[in-house]
Amino acid sequence: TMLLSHRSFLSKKIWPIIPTPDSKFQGLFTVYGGNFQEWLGHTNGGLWVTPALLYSEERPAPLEVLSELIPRPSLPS
Amino acid sequence: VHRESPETRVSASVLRLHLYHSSNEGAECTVLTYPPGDYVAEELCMEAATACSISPLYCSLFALYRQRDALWFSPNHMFQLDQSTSEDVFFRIRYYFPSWYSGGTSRAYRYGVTRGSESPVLDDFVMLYLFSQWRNDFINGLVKISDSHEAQEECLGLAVLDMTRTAKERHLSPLDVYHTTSYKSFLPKDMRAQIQNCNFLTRKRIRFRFKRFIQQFSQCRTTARDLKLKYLISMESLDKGFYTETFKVQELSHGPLVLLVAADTGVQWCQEKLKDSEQELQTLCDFPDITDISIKLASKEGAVESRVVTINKQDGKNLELEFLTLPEALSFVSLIDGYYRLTTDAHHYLCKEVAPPRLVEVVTSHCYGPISMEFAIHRLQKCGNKRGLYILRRSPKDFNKYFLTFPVEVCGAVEHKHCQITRSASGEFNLSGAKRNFSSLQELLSCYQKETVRSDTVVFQFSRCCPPKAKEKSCLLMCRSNKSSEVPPSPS
Repeated sequence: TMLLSHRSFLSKKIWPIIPTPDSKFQGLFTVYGGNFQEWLGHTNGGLWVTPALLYSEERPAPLEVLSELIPRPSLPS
Repeated sequence: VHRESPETRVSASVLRLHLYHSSNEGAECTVLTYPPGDYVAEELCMEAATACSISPLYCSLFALYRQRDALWFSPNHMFQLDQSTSEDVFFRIRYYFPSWYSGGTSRAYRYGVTRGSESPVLDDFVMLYLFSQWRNDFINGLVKISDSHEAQEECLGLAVLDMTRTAKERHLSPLDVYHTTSYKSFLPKDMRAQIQNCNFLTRKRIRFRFKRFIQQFSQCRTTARDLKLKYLISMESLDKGFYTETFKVQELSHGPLVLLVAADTGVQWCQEKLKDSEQELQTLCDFPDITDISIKLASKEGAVESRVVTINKQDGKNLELEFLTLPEALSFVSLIDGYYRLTTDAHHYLCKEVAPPRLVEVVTSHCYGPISMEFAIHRLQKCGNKRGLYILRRSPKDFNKYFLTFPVEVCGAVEHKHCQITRSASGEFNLSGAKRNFSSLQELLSCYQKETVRSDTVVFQFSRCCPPKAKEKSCLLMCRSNKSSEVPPSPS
């Protein structure tokens, strides 16, 4: 047993557990076949799909202030 | 405000405004430069936003930040710069709503006119800006990230996303990027140092596993936008330091405290000496609980600089917090004030010492912020579309435009018209089509309210203003992710 624990100590020293990126992408290839968007949507309980607030473009209305106009006979008062 | 800004010679510029945005590919950052003069933070934010295609609706998420002393400026802060001074500030997203990307039940969103017409907290321009900002904070170690195995794997995952994104943007394969740029340059500098300290074999193993995964990941069908989105989602869960601000204060009954402020949790505190332990955070108050805030000089002798911030709450109680300096107190108060406007009342300020000048202008003229046309029409409908009624509002697209929206009757049916008011660089207001200029919106309105105007063939008057209601729900207000299980009330 001495020998065994010595070996596991050594292996930890030489062969420690290393961090890898794989674990952060679980299911991407196995479940979603590499479709990133689909995987992303499912792993986050659905993503917001509608685009940002779409403003209907307001067309500024033409405007005349009647008192600022030079009176013309054809104008309705 | 001096406006001959960005094109003036660099040698004469004393104010540099850094943007996490670039107009040409390759560059990471753009800098707007200004000659000596006086500049209001809010005006600088509007110029920065315009340069980054960020519309007025989203500009309220941003503020100016100085990295040197980690200080945020209130919107009314005046930078006074002469030849001998210089200042470097960053245009940054300060107000952040977790789960803004989510389509699930606990998500943050902007209120809509009706249920089902809610809109996202951010648009793509803001999202891309946030990506550049957070990436910068991550790589340069501005946010301390835990060195646990779990966090390290998350960091490597982020590096995979970022390397692939870089490849997409440069039309290369991820392996090409891997071979020309060390994968470690996509990691926080602390983690780079940790890997550097490992023995040769371990370093080689980490690099090998990374490379193998990059190879596999390059088979993915994806876009640079989705990679950036995932990057942000991962970062939000990695560390709340990306969107939580902390302040050191003295509280009368508790002694030294650390305050933590974030959108979902409001103002929380913990005792300074227990900061890094697992002590539970106590909630001090949430934004909607606040009625007003005041700042006064601390009465203690010796501490000339320190300021007491008093937060008055709806329950009649108040909180007294002592900050070491005035700039820190103003930074804190402008944070609370900004979140109050984004969560509770878009047309109100809690403390006049930090009130944004454009907001003060809007409030005194009974003008709405940059609400959408749909909201304006909806509100007029709620008021019965009466003749003479109008809404004054800021343009959702242009910082220097306003609209007068009003109902008119054309052939027996109600229509809505939108007359435009422009604000010149010198701060003069003009109603498009009219001849006179005015020094304020109020003066303009009080003049034309007495006049008869005509649009096409319709003759009418702007006689009665429909002002914003206190705490009115509109696209200017956010429903937070921890509150959104409640049914969104329809605005009335």
